[in-house]
Amino acid sequence: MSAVLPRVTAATGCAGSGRELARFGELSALDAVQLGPVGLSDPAAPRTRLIPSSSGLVHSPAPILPVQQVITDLLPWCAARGLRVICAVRAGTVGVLADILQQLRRALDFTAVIGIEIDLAAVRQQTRPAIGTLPTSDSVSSWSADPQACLKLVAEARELLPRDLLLLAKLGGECPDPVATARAAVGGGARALVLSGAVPALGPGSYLVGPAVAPVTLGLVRAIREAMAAGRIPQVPLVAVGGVHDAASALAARRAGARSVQVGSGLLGDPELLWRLQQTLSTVTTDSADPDPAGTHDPGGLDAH
Amino acid sequence: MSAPSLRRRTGEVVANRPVGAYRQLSVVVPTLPGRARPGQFLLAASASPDEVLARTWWLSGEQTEPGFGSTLEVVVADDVLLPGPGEQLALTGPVGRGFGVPTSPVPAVVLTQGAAAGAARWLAERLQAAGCPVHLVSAASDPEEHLDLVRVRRVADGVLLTDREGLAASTRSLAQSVQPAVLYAVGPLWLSAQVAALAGELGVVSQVMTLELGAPGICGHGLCGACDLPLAADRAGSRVRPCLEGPVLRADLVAWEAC
Repeated sequence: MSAVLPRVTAATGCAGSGRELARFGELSALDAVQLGPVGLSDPAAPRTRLIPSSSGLVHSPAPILPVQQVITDLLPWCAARGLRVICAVRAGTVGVLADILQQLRRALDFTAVIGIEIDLAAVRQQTRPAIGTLPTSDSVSSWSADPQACLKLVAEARELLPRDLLLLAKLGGECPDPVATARAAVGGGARALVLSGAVPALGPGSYLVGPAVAPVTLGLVRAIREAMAAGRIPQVPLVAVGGVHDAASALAARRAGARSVQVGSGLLGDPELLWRLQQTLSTVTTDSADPDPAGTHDPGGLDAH
Repeated sequence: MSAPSLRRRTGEVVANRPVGAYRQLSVVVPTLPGRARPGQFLLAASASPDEVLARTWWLSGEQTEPGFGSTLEVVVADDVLLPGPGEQLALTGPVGRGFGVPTSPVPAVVLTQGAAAGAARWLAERLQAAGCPVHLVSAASDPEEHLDLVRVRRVADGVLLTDREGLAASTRSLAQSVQPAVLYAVGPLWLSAQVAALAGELGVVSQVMTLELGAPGICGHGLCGACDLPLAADRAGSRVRPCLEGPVLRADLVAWEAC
């Protein structure tokens, strides 16, 4: 199994379960299909809402794809078509993440999975021992607010997954210190970072996305690239997400230092954009500034032990 | 299912005329692979780069002439950004599953509200062609919102005008005289929920729209999940995605009280 990063995929939660996207183009022409957010089903989860704003869109969390449905239905569907799948996993505690990943690993069609993306922007639940009828978990904040928690979460995922499986960590605009969080994620074993320019908006769990946030994404990509050049973060490939809505913005993200892009709200307006971007990015030669074009570099010898 | 079936195509707007409070657009596109049905919808590329989502419009008519192309009609809310005659428009569709027409001629009642009345009128024409006696109930607070009644009266056996509050009562009294076998709801979600309750009360079959087209925050491509509805009874706990599996569904499948 190769750990080569796909040039373009859908952003988490913007590709449905894959079947919806199959109506608009040939999925096998893509480098990978993004399934997500994969999690434990929660019937009480509030409905997803989209609120259009000028040049943007405010969205609440996308509906969860229950891990059971992914294992029994979606992965076999993708595997039968020879598609490569990246599963984006969303979990509130380390235990829940371990549970989801173990279930995924036991799936017969896990061979179709070429990568796992861990969502560090997800809300973290603090757990404590049960005392009487008191609730045993509280929502504290996002994972990415606490680099130490990110390190634990990503390290757990790394431990449970095959060594050669691509592990991505997604962090975004909610992050108080992106460099520290990125360093923790890479230290925990992430082999690529997904940098999201989504800006917290309107209320808890809601984010502003769309062309309006493109400069936020570019700024984040540049900041992480500079930190890598200064040696504060090990060199790993970057994926830009947020504000990528046409070929020009995808190329701008490439110039800023991202190896590949994810498309979110751009797909909601025109799903065929995914195939057009795939075409554009495969014709552009790899950026010479990128030190490791094949994505095979082992950052800081972390796999050596 | 896995063969790509929806492609965005460019059509030419041939007419843009006012119909009451709405506007009716006619767009000529390359010949469609099959016949369109009432209840299907179109996705039109957003009018300005400021808008992220595509516009979703009810299809209110289709006519295919060999060698010329297909003419699609839509009735939409009045908007300054609508294209004029001669302009190009990028469209995806027709999308989704439309209304089914009964195989034997049985009395039918079509309930409608707003711009979806264009689709209701088309459905009434299809029902009449199948030999079904049709009654149309139109709910509106402003007389301008009752769409093109002359054309509807040509096909329907009866047209009943009412408002949102009086809808349930007038439909009940109409049902007593007409004894419908099927109710159709062509309109927003509140109308579908009311028709679901009425159909349960009268013990008849109903087909309803489960997607609020034209409302902001609907992607229409089946990708976002904002339109998901909870399923009822033995399917409780799972959800249906109207832009993929609908937009027309049997009303008793949806748990309306949980929406």
